Amino acid sequence: MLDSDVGNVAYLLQLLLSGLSTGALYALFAVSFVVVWKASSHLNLAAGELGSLAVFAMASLTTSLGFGVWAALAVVLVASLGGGALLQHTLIRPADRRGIFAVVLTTLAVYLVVNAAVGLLWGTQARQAPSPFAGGSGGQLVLLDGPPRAYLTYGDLLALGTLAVVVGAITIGLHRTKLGLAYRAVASNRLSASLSGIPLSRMYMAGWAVSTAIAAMTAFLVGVRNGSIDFQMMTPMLAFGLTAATVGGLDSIRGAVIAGLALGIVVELVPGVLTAVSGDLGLIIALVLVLLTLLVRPQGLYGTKRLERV
Amino acid sequence: MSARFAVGSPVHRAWQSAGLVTLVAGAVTLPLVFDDYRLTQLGQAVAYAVALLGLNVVSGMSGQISLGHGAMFGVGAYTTAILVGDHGFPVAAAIIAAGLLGLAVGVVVGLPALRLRGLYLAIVTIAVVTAFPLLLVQPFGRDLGSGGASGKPILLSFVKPSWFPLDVTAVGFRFSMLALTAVGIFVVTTRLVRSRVGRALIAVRDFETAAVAAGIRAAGVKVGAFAFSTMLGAVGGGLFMLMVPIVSPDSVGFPLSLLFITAMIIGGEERVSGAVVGGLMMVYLPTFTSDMALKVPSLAALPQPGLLATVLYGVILVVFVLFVPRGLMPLATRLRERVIRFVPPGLEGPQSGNPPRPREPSETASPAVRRETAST
Repeated sequence: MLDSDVGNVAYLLQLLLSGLSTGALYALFAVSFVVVWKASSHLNLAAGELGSLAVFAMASLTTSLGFGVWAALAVVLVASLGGGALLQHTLIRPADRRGIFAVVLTTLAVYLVVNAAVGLLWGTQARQAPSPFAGGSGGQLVLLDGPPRAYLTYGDLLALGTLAVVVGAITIGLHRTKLGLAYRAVASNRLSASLSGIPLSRMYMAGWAVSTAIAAMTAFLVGVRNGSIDFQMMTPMLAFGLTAATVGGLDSIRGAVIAGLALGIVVELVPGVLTAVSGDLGLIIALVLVLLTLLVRPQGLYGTKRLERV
Repeated sequence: MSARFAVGSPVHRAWQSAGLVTLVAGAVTLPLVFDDYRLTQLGQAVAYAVALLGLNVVSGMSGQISLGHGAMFGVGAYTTAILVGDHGFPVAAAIIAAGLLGLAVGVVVGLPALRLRGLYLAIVTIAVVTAFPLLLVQPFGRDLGSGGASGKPILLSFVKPSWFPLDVTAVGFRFSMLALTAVGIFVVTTRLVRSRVGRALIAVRDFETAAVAAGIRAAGVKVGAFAFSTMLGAVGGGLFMLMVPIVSPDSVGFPLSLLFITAMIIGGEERVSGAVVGGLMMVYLPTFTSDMALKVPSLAALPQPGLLATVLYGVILVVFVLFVPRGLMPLATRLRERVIRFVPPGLEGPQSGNPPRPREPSETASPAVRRETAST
């Protein structure tokens, strides 16, 4: 039933660390969904593909044009901000007039086009990921020497650090700036916000811009972790990110972070501890978690319960 | 001015019967006309159309989005291939079993998601469709006989029996059986959609609160519709195996779901007939674009020119969502209504001048009632 290594502290610690660092990626991606959902109740299903596009562009910048990794990252993050705002302005806004499902369908169309375009332009073969570290995720920071040893790679540290910085920046941005106050007003009540003079459309654009940039950052970190990138890399992430966002509560950044980290740990721990579970069942676990959440607590761990007056 | 007849009048009945006879005759006689290659393509289109019909029921009628039909198609295809190949089931029994499995999956997936309003079904079905291809290559899936990453071949000994009167090939016979089954499914679904059940579904879609107040159990109706639709998805996948020799994990994932969604929007999500247009689109559009791409040197030089079809799908999807949100079939209906129009009883008969058009002229002539309000 239980894995024979289950008594080994280092083995368990390693599962936990590995889960935390995977979970940081899920959490980050979930945050990108939450940022959009909070203001507009839209689901940007194309976020992951836009992230893939960004990381492939990064790869070309670093290999062909001689950019440093950080410079290339800065370029694609700025481009993602612009791209997200542009996408909202040109496609999502007209679709929004036809209802919420038209918006989802439009993001799916963007998914199709961007996914295929990346495959067309860069080929369907995996290529080396742009990474600041040698050999993808870099050296190891050994916390507990084994065997097996418990460690974090530099890539893992970068992922966890990025999550902390992004969430910190969003929290400060939402609570300490005027734009953030306006954004929270829109999230709380769109009609009153617009009546008090907040330009809704600019708020939506800001949300999509930030969300797309976070997705680009996620794709970059997924590349660093895997060491390689390919045009399908973000498809499983879409399921994991949506799961984390749903379990945490679609309008809660705190929920997205906690659920993302927890999802990472569960996905690593369950096959690592129970021998009955073999193979790569992460997505199945995610599916079960989503279904259970919707059955037991539809609004998610930290989501706002929606009341409807009829 | 077009001729107007009441719904249910002898002329309307005759019109419907003529359509049905044409379909049945086509299913039986096409194998005499076309070669095996064309029949295989057409058969695939018909199998896709059955799955799309399921998608129409869930999207057009209950106003939800399922992104899981790629996986449902896979469930049906794999179940059929495994039951026929490994357990010696007759093909018909295997496809029925596939449909029942699809029904069960639909209940399990739909029950949690459909009690809630909004996009939860989309989220859950994304999880289903990304998890399913992965499940196939895991030890668990391989134990069931999925054949792992290389796919599951199907060995059909399903050839023309001696009683079948026409001189057709084995593929031709399979095509006829597939097409006749599809016609049956379309007739039953059309009946169902126009019945009390279908009206309850439309009521829930258009105004859930009012529907509940009228005594409709909204969650039950929605789950039922979704399970019916996943059943059709699985049956479509099973029928597909009559036309193709192998199914692989790559072919039944999220990309297939997206193609289904696009095809559904092209045909028109609120029409039973839209599914047929969508099915044809799914088979012929990729062939068409790859032929076109090979003629343009700069496109043919791309590493994966086949992906151009996907780009085109995306462009078509966004154009339809923004500019033709009801799809192609309502346009076809409008053309037909220049010649003949079916109206509720009492409105027929010769009309002089410009008669007051019913607000929804095609409402009763089509199985699905078009959406009045954007569902939010």
